[in-house]
Amino acid sequence: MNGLSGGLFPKLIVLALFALILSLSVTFKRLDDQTRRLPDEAFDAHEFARLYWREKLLPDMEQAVEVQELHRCVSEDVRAAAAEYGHTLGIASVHAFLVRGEGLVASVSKEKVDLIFPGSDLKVSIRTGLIFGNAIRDATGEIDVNDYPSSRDFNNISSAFNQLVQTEVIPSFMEEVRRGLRVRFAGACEVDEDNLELSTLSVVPVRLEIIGSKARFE
Amino acid sequence: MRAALLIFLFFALLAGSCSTGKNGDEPARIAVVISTLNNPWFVVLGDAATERARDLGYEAVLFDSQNDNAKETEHFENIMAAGYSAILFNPTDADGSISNVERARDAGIPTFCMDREINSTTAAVSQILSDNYSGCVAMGQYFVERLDRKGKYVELLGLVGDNNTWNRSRGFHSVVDQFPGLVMVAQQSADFDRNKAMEVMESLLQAHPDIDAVFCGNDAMAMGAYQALAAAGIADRVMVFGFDGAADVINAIREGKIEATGMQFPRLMAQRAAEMADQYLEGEREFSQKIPVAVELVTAYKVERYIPYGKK
Repeated sequence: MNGLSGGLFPKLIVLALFALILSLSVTFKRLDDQTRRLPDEAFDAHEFARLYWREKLLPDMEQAVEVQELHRCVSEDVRAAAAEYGHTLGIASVHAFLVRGEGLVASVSKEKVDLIFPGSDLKVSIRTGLIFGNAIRDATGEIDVNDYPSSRDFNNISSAFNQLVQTEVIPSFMEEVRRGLRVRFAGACEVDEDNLELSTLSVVPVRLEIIGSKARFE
Repeated sequence: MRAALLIFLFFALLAGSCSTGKNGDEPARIAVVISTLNNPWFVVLGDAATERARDLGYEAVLFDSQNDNAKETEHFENIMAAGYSAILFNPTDADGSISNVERARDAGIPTFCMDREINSTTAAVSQILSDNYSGCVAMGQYFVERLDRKGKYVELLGLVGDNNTWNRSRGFHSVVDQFPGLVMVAQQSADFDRNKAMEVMESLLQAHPDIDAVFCGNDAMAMGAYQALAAAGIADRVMVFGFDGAADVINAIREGKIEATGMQFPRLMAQRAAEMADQYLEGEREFSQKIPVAVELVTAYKVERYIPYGKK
């Protein structure tokens, strides 16, 4: 009582008022609400992609399959690998995976940075040119085509993700990457069971880190 | 006497309610409504759906909407009046066809869309659709590679009311527009029609005789465009790209006349739609609203893996 009457009570009132003003001025949108909306409501794929990237995709990369494990599984049985680690959109021979790993830079070009893994024949090509396709969208396994009355919105999500890779991940990385450096990566890759190319996995990067450098590109 | 009459009426009603079932005296009927039968690709779609429905024990009837939404509406009204059990549907218009499907739904007739979508996730029971956008992203990348990132081209669009037209065009442009050396000098609709494409191409060549390539939103238009180029004597230097996986284009790719097409799988889509209708009529209610079917790029390097409208 003495504490309250001595000044704590007014402070609590102020805090409560502040919290009230804050709650009225800030709108919190659930990520799920971004995909489930009224048919007439316009869909902003770029806003969705940014939100998803920050709140879901980056955290999920910690659970991505390690690239050499993926390579081993795909080499044995592509469909089993897809069932275990990947996702397939509808009826298709292409399976998408979230993948991560760490390798040595063997070569650098405008279109790709090749990584090798000591003791392994595997090569990973980090795509660093223009990014096309649905690898990121489909690898998440969470962005459901059934949530989009018009396929245009669903397609625009892929474009938006690809644009984020091109603007947020690649440019700064390319300024620093050099042959011989170690790179930690996380991203999405696709494997086509009808056109298996097992010696090289092509990865669309979501996160890149040059080990030993303080910089992280995501 | 009254009891006997009641018993007789009961069994008469029971027999009547069984007569439209698949295993009754008369098979249930499935309507197959196709946007147009003036295009071989859609003929394959319609025939495959009809055949599979019949294999499953249904009477199947094919309806041609002639690319006319009003004609399509008329078909739906007749189908509802005649008591069909299900509809396998290839829409004429992604927005304009919604009301037809909704009316059928409200009349208790489930609809399964094939190849083309409607912009609704609550009208049809399911929609099995080619992933046209992604197919044309792949096409765009091949286009860039074949033209070595430079050149002038024209684009022939399909029906402007069809989502497939724009999914294909957008997929293509999402890639090609990234390359400033590739310049689209003209873009015009030829309604997915071969003859119209030939006329449009002839007209475009008057204004742009020095083009290097033409991208067509379907194979019928690709063949029409090729005819116009051949008549002008420049088919050897202008690359033609199509989309569908039609027989004449598959052969033309083998002969080096057409550069590439996107293989759709109309038989697969049609058969799956018929099977889903059968499952629904057998009591199943859990269906994905949309089932994308991947489109595969067919080029001279890969053409031997493919047959018209499918894969070996």
